[in-house]
Amino acid sequence: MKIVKYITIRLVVAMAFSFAMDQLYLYTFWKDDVKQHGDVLENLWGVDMHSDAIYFGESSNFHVQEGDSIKHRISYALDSLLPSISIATVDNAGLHAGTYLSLVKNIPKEMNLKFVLITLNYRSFAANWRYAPFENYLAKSALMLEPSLPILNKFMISLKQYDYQSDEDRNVQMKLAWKNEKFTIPNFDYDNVIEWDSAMAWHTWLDVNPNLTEENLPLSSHYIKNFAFNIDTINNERIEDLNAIVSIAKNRGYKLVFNLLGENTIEAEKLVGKELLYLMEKNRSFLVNYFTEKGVVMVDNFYQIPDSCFVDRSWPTEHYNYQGKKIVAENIKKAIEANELHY
Amino acid sequence: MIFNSLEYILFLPLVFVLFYLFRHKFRVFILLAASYYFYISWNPVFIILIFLSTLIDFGAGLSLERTRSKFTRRLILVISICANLGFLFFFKYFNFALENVNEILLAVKGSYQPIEAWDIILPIGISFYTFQTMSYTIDVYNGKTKAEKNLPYFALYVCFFPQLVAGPIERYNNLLPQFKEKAQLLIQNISHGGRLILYGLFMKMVIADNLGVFVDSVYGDIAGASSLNLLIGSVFYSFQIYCDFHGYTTIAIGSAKLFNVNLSENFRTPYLSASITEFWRNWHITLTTWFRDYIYYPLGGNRGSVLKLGLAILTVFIVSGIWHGAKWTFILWGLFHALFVLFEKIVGWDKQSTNVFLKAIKWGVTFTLVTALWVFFRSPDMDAAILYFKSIGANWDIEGIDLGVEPFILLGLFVISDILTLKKNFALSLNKIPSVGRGAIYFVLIFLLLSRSGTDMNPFIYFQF
Repeated sequence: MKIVKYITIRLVVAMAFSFAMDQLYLYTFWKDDVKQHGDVLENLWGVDMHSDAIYFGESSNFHVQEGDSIKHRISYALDSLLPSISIATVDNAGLHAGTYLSLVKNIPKEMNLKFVLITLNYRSFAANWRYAPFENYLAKSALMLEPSLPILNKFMISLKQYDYQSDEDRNVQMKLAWKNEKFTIPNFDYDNVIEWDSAMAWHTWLDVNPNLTEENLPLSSHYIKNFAFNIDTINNERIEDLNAIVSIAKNRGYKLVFNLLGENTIEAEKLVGKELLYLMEKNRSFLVNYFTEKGVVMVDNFYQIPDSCFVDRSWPTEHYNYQGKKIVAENIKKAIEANELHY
Repeated sequence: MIFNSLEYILFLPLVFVLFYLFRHKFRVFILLAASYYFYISWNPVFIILIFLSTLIDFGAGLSLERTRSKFTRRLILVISICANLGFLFFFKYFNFALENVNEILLAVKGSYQPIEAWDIILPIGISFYTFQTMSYTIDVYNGKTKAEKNLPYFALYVCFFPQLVAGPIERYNNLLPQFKEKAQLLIQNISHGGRLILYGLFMKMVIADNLGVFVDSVYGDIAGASSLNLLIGSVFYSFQIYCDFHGYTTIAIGSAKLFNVNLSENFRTPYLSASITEFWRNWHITLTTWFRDYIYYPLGGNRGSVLKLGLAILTVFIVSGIWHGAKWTFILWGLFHALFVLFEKIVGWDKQSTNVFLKAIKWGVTFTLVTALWVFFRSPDMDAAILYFKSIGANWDIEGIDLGVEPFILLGLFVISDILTLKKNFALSLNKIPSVGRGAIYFVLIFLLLSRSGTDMNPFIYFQF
């Protein structure tokens, strides 16, 4: 009994200590730690509380082409296209459904939002993004943003209570996913990335595809690694996170808009072939139908961006010049107006 | 499972509750199951090695006691030692030996197709539990202890989880009788153990892990680091390794205390030593005493000629270097320590001095030497170590130092606490302080632990040995 009393008293004191320490931490180190481990939260802090909507995006929102006279973000262009409402921007490189989920959880409850826009990047569903080394940082950021005592979040980071894995481990997982995550393409020999990419690497395609050269062969390999997959609704963590966002939005009464970014389907078909396009279309239509059924407003830019608007030519990205960004902004505007989200 | 993990924070109280819920005769099985689970959480396959090591030495102990024949007894001892060292050699030194054989054959033959290294994973803690079990068999052979007849107790002696993977390396006579004693649930033990665990976590997570970030950046680009960064990096590493290892053993001692088990002290403020000899009396004490009892004394120890003494010291320190790892940098580290200890013995530098000024000079020299030798210990290879020494003094540019004051403040705080716990360990030192003061100390330590612990992936340094 004496022991129970001894332990209980100490536990109560420890809890009181924890709250006092948390307050002390908020006044001392917290902001610096957020800057170091979860800098995207800083963007959310900077949001005007009177905003009508928040645009959550990644580098596609802010990347500019050298020589572009207008360097606006997609979200800024949208803001000017919809003058009756004010749209706040929260963006950072590499963000995906997992980090958006943490951010959505942290939207101040007192904000009266007409809608929340989430950027959907097709590539973020692929193995080489899901198992990228950068995921350590994003997982750490997500933990830093968890809605619990900030000092405990920091301690959990120190205890590595996030998906920390070494670069080697992530590389192994990526390769395993490329091998084990199968897809089916009618009348096609390969059902996984490794086999398809190896065939390409062994120059099998050079004789068959007149668009392929020794120079653009590496780019064709990137297209396969980034675009050839089959979204698995059970095991793909992005779907799980997006579903969680949908359910939070439902609880809090936010209207959700998913902005599916445009991909360079023209170059994908040119370099790899119609088989890749078949998979891309299958996934696109899945995403659009799946989330439309869940009540999300889907903005489908998938085929909308012309080849000339893509900035990066050695790696498939969703970095557009201003023309491309404007197309995306206009498509979002149309969807918002069609669904009357701006009223 | 490592001590600074959420798993351990949940595991330890669970084992504690189970331990005291059961009657004494079942407790050995609770601790044994917990210890095997603790080890399996690293790599399940290597539990077989622990079983083998346990059975070999348990069998050897019993056989030694039942045998009168000198020859047979010696044979049993040799078999036990060969088996233990055989495991250790294979897992830890095989590739190193292969690498050196390749080099020698290449030098002799001119052209030679080297034998490829094997893909061998080092079982965690093998150096520690191997030395522990070997000490038991040698002690039984020498008649210093009686053979253990109860296999579960002996198995627990080999694998008691708080000290299984990085010591302290315990002797049978100290550890096993404590398991057999009926443990009372005492507030003093919980308080004592809890304090040590808190202080150990503070040393590891707040001090060592934060210093390690800077040390890693310096060793990651030795050629590009300025002289000042190299100097700070070497001093920081001295404290990183100390806080890392001392932190680990303090948590181990604290965890064991919860089960009424007193583990041996492994550190006694070694950086306040005024000679290398004194440093080794205060650093990794359980390993040093192991070497003293099983290598140094059998080789003659302090008795005999200078040559004999030199040979004994050289052997001990080179074996100590090799024990730490299969690399020439460790061997050189051990060799230099041996030479300094030998020098001190010859000129009498290791004798205690009452002159404060002389003591301060001796302390400064000792700390500088120890710090400099850690460069061999930390460097990935000989080239890096040589480059480190060459680069100190090459670039006194003070730009590029972006360290902030935090690491220095934390280090200062630790140095003060280390000096204050010079005579008694942290838990006992707190007894003299009034409860308000104790509360304030807990508050500061817990606050620093929660808010300032390092965030990079830093496993305990001694786990690699």
